[in-house]
Amino acid sequence: MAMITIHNYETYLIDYLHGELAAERVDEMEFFLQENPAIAEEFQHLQQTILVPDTTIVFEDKKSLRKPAPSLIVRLKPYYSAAAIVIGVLCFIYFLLRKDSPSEPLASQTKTLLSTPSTVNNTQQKDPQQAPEKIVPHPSPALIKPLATAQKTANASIAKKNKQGSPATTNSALDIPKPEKQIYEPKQEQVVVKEMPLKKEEPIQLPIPQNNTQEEVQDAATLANNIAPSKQTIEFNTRKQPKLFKALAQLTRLSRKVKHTKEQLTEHEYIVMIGNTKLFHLNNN
Amino acid sequence: MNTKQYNTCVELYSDHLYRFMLKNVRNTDLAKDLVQMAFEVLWLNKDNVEEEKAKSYLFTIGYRKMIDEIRKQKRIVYNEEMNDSIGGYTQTKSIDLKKTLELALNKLPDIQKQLILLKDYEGYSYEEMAQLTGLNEGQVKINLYRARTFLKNELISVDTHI
Repeated sequence: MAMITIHNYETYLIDYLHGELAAERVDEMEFFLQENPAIAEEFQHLQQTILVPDTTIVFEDKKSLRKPAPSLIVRLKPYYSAAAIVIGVLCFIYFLLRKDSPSEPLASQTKTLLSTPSTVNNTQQKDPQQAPEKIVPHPSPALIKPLATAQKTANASIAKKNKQGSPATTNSALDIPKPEKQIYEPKQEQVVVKEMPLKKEEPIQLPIPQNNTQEEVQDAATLANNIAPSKQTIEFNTRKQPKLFKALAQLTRLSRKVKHTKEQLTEHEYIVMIGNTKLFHLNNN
Repeated sequence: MNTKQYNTCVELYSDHLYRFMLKNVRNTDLAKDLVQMAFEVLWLNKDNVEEEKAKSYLFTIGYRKMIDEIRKQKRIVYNEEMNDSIGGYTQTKSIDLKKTLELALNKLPDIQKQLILLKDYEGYSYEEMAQLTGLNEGQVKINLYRARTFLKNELISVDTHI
């Protein structure tokens, strides 16, 4: 590499002026300028030739350059719209009245009854004797008769079981038939997702099964990278990994679709019309 | 690039492009037309242009359109304008470094002037300027060197004249 001298400095000086001089040459050039005051003065003159953009010059008619976002007109038919509004109002009134009506306990009771199987299952596993007390519902007057009938049936079945030497307890007045255990108990071979103790910035490592497609593996890896900042380590049961990978891949594809749809939604502006009447106008810009 | 991104480009780059055009052609209407044309081309090709490369694309299109226009009109009118303003300057002796520099800039050959403007206004590198103008990097450097030397001499001559 040639030294910067009085005979060849011009090109280096211009490069230095334009900020294009190689980094390793900059110190050499600065030293050269210190050694040669005449050239340093020349450099000062050259610096004066650098133009400063005149920011007062602006393109005023930017409006003419801008393009409107594509509009999507959602045209609602008047009759259908009116019908939809009426139905909506009726539904609203119905739910409003229903909320105040005495049938609310029935709804909550139904919920309790629906939720009992898991409760029964869990409590019976812990303490089988207390379980019937916990699941006793509070019947509304409307349910007294049916429940009494159910009670009779239940008592009869309990009596039968007792006769057969069954160890079932009879201390509950409203013992609901016990749900089948197979439905609610977790299977032995089911996928296990454990939340492990956190380690600093440790990436999620998902073993790649052989029978997945390349796309699915890539999608799963992408998802794993995306959730990495949560600093959670996830371990999967190896026997069920293909299904998990498929689920992860599907989830990633869905998230991509959502992202794409979101972009499209933000790009457009929307005009909602009933017949020819403009109802409202949504502009994302 | 979508519509929203295109409109962002309008906000970001229209002033820069207009400044560059105006300094080169020195005619506001023509400069505006050139900016309009460049953005129209960008709009037509927005699907193929990434947002990050939009500025470079705009300047490339604008530059080509400008060269075409300059060739068409042969700059007769502008040369007259330039001579008038220089005459005014020498008569009034109003000393303003910026004005002096602008007048000297207008004396430069087109290519040197364009390179100076690209460098100083937009901060383009030698490589980018070479791509835009169709020259090689060596030619870019030589033209810039000549332009700077000329501008420097103009400034020095004005100083000594005073």
